[in-house]
Amino acid sequence: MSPILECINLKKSFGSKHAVAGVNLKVERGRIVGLLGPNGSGKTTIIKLANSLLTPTSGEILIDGKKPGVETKKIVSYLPEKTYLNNWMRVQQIIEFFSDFYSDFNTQKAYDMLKRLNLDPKEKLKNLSKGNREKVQLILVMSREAQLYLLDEPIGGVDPATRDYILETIISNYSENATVIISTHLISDIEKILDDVIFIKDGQILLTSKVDNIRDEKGKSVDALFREVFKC
Amino acid sequence: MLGKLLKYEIKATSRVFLPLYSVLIVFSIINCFMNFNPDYFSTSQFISLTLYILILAGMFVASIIVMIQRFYKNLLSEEGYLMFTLPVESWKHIVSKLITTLMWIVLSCIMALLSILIIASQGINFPEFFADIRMIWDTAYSYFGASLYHFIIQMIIGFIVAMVSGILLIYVSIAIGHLSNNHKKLLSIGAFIGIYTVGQIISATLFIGNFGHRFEFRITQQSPFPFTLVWQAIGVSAAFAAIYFVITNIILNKRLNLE
Repeated sequence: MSPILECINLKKSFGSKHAVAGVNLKVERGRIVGLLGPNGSGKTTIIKLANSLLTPTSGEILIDGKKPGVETKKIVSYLPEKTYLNNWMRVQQIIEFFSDFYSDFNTQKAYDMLKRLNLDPKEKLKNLSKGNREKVQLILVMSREAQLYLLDEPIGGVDPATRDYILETIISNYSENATVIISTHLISDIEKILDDVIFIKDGQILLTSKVDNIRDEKGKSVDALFREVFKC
Repeated sequence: MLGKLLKYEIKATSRVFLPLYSVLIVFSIINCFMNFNPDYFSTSQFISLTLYILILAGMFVASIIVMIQRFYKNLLSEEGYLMFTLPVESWKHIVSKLITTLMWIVLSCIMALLSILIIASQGINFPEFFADIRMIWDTAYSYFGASLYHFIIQMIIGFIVAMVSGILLIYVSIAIGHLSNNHKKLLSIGAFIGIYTVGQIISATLFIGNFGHRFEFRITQQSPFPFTLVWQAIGVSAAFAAIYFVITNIILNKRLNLE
């Protein structure tokens, strides 16, 4: 079985700036992976490349052995760092939209999560606060039964209580064979749920490791190691 | 999936057009009663007629704005993050927006005709009116025969092809503008002017150079219309539309770089 995500000498440049500078990476199934790095290190670029929102300058990115396209989009559930909600739908309409287009979307699950987070399905998307928009997007993304979840800064804009609920949702909602890749710089908050970490800086991979190995061999938390590696 | 895209595209745009159509009809009804006495033209009549004309013009301006805005905002700005991660081929996005725009243009034309009929309804005797139309048709048919059908079909196809070509020209210009890192809007406008000019030069060369001699024809009962020439023009327009479509699709597919 091919890895769920694979990068082969992946490069992406914007003009003279190398956002991703030759990344080789394999991510296995059934893992929760932290894609960790400072701002501008290339995390978002890699995730957007995996969703074909950007096209590689050279090299390849493969999902389940396939280049990003219709087939990979069926199995990838993506949470961008931007708000992509339009200004005319209500929450219940965007749920219908998702269930129309994604055969793996679980409508019941979405409504359960809305209720748990006190969100009104009849509310218009444009009237939601920034934090609530992020919650709605996360609910949409986590209500799919996908094989690969790509979450770009999923906890950035929400309060700590919601943060805990979101992390709990991530762990409890994905099936055994699914992989979750979380990009963030808020490491201490998510450290406890991670299986693996990838450290990225200036578009290059600095380190990939199991979290247990970092704790056992280096006797450090991921957060402490991060601070050490990325010391300014 | 194309059907689903169409469903949401129509939903998103009907929020603009349905209210506009309602207002247009309401104002034509108002004008219909206002103009009851054609000998006396009051200020209120003037205002209501001006408003009606503004709404009518606004309806067509809205078609253009909505067409541009739906393509740019829904596909190439933040909403593109959602649209392009749907498991749908990019050409279906183009086609769904194209069909929806075409539908609103045709509907707007129908609504415009309808509103004019409403305004004129006080002065029209409808049975007589339709009898007159019937008579004009019969006279034309007795002169031109079956080629009248040919003419009408050609006009309809010509209208649709011209509209499709125009819409795709706008799409391809926006898509080309998207290739720029910093000056998307400027490059879009430049692309539009450039492609339009080149298109005009190519069509002119084709028709003057190759087809020019066919300009000479006589209106006779056997060939009352320049069918061949118009079909050729429609063909050229369709070829341009196909090129615009292919380029737009390549850009959305292989050169998509959403910020």
